[in-house]
Amino acid sequence: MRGFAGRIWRERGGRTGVLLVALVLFIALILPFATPDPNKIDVPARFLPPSLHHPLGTDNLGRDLLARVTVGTRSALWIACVVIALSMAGGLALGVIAALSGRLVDRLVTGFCDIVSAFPSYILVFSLVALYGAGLGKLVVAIALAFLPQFARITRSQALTLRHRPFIESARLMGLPATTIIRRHVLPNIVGPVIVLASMNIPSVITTEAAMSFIGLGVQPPQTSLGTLIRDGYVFLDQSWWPIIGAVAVLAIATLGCTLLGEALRDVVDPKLRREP
Amino acid sequence: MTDSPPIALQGLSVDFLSAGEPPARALRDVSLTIPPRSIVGLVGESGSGKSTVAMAMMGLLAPNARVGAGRIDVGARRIDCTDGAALAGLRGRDFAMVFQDPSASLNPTFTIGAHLHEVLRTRSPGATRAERQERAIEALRTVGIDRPDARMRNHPHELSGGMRQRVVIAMALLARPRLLIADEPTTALDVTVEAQVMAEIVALRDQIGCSILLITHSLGLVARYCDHVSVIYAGEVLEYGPVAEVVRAPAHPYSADIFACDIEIDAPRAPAAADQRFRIIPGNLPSLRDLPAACIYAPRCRKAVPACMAGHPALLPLTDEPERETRCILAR
Amino acid sequence: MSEALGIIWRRVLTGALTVVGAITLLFLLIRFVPGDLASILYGPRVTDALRASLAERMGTDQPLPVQLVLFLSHAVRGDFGINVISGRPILDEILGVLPNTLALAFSALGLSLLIGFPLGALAAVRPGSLADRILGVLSVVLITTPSFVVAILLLLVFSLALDWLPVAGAGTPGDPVDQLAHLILPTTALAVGWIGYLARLVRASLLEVLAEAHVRTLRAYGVPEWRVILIYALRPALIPVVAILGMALGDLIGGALFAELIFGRPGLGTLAYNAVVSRNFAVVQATTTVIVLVYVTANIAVDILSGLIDPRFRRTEGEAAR
Repeated sequence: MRGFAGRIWRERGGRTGVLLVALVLFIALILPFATPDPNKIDVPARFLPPSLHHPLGTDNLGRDLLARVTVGTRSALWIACVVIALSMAGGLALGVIAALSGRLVDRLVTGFCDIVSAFPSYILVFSLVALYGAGLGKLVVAIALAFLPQFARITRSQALTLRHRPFIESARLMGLPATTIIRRHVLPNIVGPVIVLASMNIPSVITTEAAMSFIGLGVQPPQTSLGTLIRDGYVFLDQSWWPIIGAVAVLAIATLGCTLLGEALRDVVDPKLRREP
Repeated sequence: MTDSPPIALQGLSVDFLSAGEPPARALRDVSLTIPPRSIVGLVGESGSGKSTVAMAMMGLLAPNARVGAGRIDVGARRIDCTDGAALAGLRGRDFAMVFQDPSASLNPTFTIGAHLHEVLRTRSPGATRAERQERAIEALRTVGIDRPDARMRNHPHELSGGMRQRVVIAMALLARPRLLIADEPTTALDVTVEAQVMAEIVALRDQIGCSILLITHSLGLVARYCDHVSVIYAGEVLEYGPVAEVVRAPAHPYSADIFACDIEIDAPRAPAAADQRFRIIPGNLPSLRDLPAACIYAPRCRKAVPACMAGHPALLPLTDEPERETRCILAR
Repeated sequence: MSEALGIIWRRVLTGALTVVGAITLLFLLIRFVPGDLASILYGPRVTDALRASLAERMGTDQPLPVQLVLFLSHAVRGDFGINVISGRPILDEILGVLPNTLALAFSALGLSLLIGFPLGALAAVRPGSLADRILGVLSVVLITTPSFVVAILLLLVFSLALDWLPVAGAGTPGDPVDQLAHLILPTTALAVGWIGYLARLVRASLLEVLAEAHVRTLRAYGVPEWRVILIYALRPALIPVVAILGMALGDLIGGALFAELIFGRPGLGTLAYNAVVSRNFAVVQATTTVIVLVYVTANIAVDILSGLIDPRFRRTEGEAAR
């Protein structure tokens, strides 16, 4: 495991990614202890420029923007992790079922993935939220559904190559139950590329959530995310331009850091994946 | 053409650089003489540097290669091997090449015709499209391809390996070089196709009167097709001479060893079989990063004497057969 | 040639099946929402007259499969009903703004190719050079900055700091110069990420091709280096680039939704967004269907284009089908 981390650290991109992600984690997890109450309204102090007291200034209600950015970052990361966990779990289940069940089930699962992929991901999330209503929980499920087919496809193709490998055959001949074979022999062998895919998708998930919250169809106030902060700043753009900067900067750093880290992870785990877009 | 001077490679040295290591001295003082219209075999195991010789002569070495020294005499010209631009001027005009793997040596997204036209665009810049087309079809017919006009429109993947190799030979035919370098031209092909492709290469020589440098690990091919042979080992030519003489009485123990084995000294397509045979000569290739000041073959040589370790021998003519050269001090 | 036609036909057929599947999925998602169809589609504006006409159109009193068939047959004919707010047929409204959105998506795609392609090719020809290393860093930054953020930043710079370009609307109809001026900022916002992505892809792809044996063959026959790169290496290097274009267009149409909102530009995005805000899902459903149709068509076109560039693709496709 040390060699693993070492190899990520050795590449310039991986090192930058680790540092940026560490910075984002610091903002999300440590900084809240040092910042004032993000919801404390102080209308006379609205639209204050950055100062020692308010490093990122204040918003239209005089709330401290740094404090709000830390909360927004935390929820953005939290949402990204939950979405990826859901997509991954669903994709793993569908992929393994497709690969190990009969031809009909396989056709159904791949057909389902093709149909979901026929919607551009923003459009699918948008339609789902339009139908079922905005809000944190629904947004998470909608984004998870949009990202699920990739996980199902990679799991299926990995599991298919495993199916006729001798150790699986012998486990089956020994009469081990299917669940044991999947848990002990299939999952450990396909988890590498799936984790890489997950890490590569985190930036897209963060972006999708921020974009949906930005147009008001995602996270709803009083809950905060980077997207709602950008929306708040955008609405008052004609009065003050810097409330938007903090959230935009953290969003850019988070996606950049996660991308660099994801690519470094991919190169270490499976250099063959490098060519896939 | 018969009275033109031989093509001569003199004193070629190539190093491969890699970060954090001393350079690998892949070729050291390699010289070759290729008389007009003759076929010279350059024979050696994989890793001996025989393909590096070809790439250095073509100026197509990998970016991490450094040519230390060397020159090529072509006709009245003398080309410095360290001068990439000068070597580029030889390509497609004086030198042409047939490669080892015909499945990869043609561009998969272009037709056979496009490849042949491109050679003519370089070689005969004045020709019209129709003239080029006619000559390209004629070249395909000459190298034994059926329905050449239809084949012009095919893509490489629609042809067999042997056919693709014929297409490259047709490219050489159109380039009309003074020297054709054939780098393991039949290694990737079936044995039955090998003879046909070699026949086309010989026919090409007969038609355009070029010389051929045949790079191979196959002693069978050398014995059957070559006039002269140069035996290369770990980046040095150990012996040079007429094939018949070298086979009859090798002047270097390494030549004697590989000819005595009477097998292909390496066969990359059949590693399992090759594995068993490799052991016939005990020991390994020396490290090219740390060479001793001694005969390069001495550590593996059955006949080695203390004098072999005393200094690095030069490639010198045999006293009673001045046409032949060897590095072995015992042969003088 | 007939073989090629067969492959195209098969590809179009699977594309059509995918569209039917997507519409079915949309139908199921709608039916899955609790409540009656009329209030889901028409929101608070639903009247008894609307409810009655919907019951007739969609067969809401019939079993689910019948409803699905009715839904499909309407969608396939482009009959999405009437927009209850404007009173106009939804299809007319969509077709009215579709050109705006497509112009935005395609000009962004064109701009990405126009800039990203040469950048990637230059980096590949001189790997390790200063330009290559700068591009390596720059492209990741471009890729990871979300397009709606770029749009906001552009708006910030051009509406508050400078006054060079119009920042809202799509321009006066019938005035191409004005329309073009209105296209510049949203196009740039959308293209930035794909410039970085395409530059990277072209670089990687061209580097790989330049290391292949057929490039060496042409060099060995004295073909000038510019012809080797620009003609013979570029075409195989295009294959993965073309393959990604369908996905790019889908992503750009999705991104156009946000760019249209930020720059106040009429298009599918603003149409759908306003429909969501006024709880008029019938319009969202129609917009989504049209976008899926455009996206699937683009992917079919890309597959056919790939077949034209890569002759091996034609054969493997044919063999796979056999």
